[in-house]
Amino acid sequence: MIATFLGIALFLAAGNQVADVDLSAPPKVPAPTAPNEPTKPSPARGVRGRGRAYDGGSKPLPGTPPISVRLDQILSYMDRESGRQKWTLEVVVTNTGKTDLSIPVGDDSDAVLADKDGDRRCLGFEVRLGDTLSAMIGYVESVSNSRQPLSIARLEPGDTVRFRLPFDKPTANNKRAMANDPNLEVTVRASLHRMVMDHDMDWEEQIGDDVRSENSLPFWP
Amino acid sequence: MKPRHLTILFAVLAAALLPGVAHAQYSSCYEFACDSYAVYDPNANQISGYSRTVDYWWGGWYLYAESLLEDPNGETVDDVSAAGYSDAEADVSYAPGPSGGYEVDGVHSYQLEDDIAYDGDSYYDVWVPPPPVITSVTTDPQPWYSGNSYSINIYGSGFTDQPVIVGCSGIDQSQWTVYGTQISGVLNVSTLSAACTIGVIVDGFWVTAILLEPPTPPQLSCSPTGSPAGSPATLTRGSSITCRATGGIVTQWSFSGQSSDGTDFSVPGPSTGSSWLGTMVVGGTVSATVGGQTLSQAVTVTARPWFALVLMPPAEGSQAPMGSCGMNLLTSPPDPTEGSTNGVAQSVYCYGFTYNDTPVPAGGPNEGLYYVLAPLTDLSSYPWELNPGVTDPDDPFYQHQGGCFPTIDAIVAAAEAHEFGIATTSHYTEVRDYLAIPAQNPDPLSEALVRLSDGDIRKAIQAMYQAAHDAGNVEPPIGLPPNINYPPYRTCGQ
Repeated sequence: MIATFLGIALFLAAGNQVADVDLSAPPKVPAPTAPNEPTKPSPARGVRGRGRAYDGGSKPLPGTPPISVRLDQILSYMDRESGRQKWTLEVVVTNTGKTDLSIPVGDDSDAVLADKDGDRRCLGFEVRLGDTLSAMIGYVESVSNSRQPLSIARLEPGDTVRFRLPFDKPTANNKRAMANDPNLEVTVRASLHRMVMDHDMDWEEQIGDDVRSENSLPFWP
Repeated sequence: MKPRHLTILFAVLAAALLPGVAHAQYSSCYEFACDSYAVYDPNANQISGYSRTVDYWWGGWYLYAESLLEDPNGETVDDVSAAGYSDAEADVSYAPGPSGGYEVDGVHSYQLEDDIAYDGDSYYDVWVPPPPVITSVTTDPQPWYSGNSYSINIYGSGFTDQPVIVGCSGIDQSQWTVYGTQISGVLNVSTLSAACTIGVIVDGFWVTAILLEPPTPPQLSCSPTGSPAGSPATLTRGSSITCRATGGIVTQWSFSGQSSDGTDFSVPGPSTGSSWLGTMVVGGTVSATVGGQTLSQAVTVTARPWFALVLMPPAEGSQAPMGSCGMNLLTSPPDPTEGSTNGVAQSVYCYGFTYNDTPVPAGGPNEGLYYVLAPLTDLSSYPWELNPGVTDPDDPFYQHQGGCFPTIDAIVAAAEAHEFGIATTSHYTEVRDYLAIPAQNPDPLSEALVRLSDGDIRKAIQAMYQAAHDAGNVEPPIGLPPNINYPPYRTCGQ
């Protein structure tokens, strides 16, 4: 009786998975036009205010999201459009704080961020081989806009969201060879950003520090 | 009896027995035979005919025949006479202009010993059809190589017969499909010993010429070419390449490449066409399957030299908090457990940038790959901050330094030298020295940046800046002077 009660309590404490977000869709490429016809450049977007202060102490910067990132599994699948094998990494993001937390879960960056009057956030995921900057093998972000409620997931403490992140195996193999380290494993860094309009430019500003994944996964060629 | 005479005899019999298949014809000779005949050759656009007078029995009389060819308007366009013993044949020929009915009129006579003259006449009608109307002709790219099959489509109206191929031997033209408005065919080109040109003729009218080449080894070449010959095709990033395959039908184009930072790219190309062209942003290998054989051409993409270095910004003191590198955060008293300057000072390479990227237009080996169009706009700054405990004379920390403890000036000087001094190594000079190396600087690095999406480009540039920032994480050798008087404050002599 007591064991059953404890089991239920642990189950409740474990939280619920409130969303399943697939960010592995291929990036949108411009519609085919005539060969060599000029295409529109990407929307203007800048990055500013990045860099943690030297001698600023070891405490997390204000605004660092209270989340943990756990790598669950690596899956491969055959892409129907290209007929090529693709790889995706499933990660579980958990609200480790003591209060409710809103995180971006929109998977269409252009559509969600286009309405610049809302409070716009991005949760970026860097997939790395090892943990060095040069070993990034994929980057993708989920996005939210306060004017699009469906792009926001509200997590109670312990609640989770599962994300599927794409990465490129050939690039991973190249990076592994360049690093001359066959034991490098896949890791993830998550970072929260706000989008700020300033002088007709969309600026990406990070909120707080990066959050490193609490584990890594082996990935063999 | 001569064979020709038998032919005429059988023709007359056939005309009598099978009137439905005979052309309009007539002859009215007595005591001798006579006839007229004509045929239209659409391939040569030529009417050929004759009128003949023949003595089948004696062969000793002098015969006369005249052939007049009349056009559809009744105008005589050719007039030929002939005379002889046994037979007299007057041949006419003419390249008709307008379509319509033409007629060969024969005038025949001979004179017997008794000076009795006999005469007669004959005629034969021939029809010249109107030409078909050709509106367009499409073929597989030329030249065509022997040992392959190629398609041809002829569009227009008035087609009545399948095309005729002239000019070269060894062309299998059996697979024609003829409609009123379209002729489609597949021509199999057998082995040729030399190049030649075939002509395609429809209903007697010239349609097109096609150059045939003897078999050559499949080849793939790209322009601009490399130097010396045989080396990789070389071009500047963002310029256009044209690759051509010869010696067979191309069934697949593809590109594979790798950027300098190890990012892998694979671009499937079209499955037809003898050329593939487009903007190149990353080097690699262009491949083409030609006549079942896969050929490759290495391509080297060189850097655009106008991407200069991102410069180190000046150290400029405090600024409003922005993003993750905000200042004005230190509070008094300094905390001896926080950082190497114990909370007396902090600084940061606060980086920011804008960039201009674009995907490669559709249609070439690097279709859809993103690259940076122009040098970055660098918006980085280097703010620093001193703790109010070392700047505010009324602050208790400020008031408890000096004497047997380091002076405020000494503490500030050491902290500033540590953060952004340039006489010796500081956090500032560490970043500056890192950026001074082109192979580490975000601007030349971004020049070579190629990714699958705009987000990847942005993140990669950010990683370049972050690497420069992280170069400043190494603690400089100059630290704060020892024996700073932190709380609980002491007094000299204690």
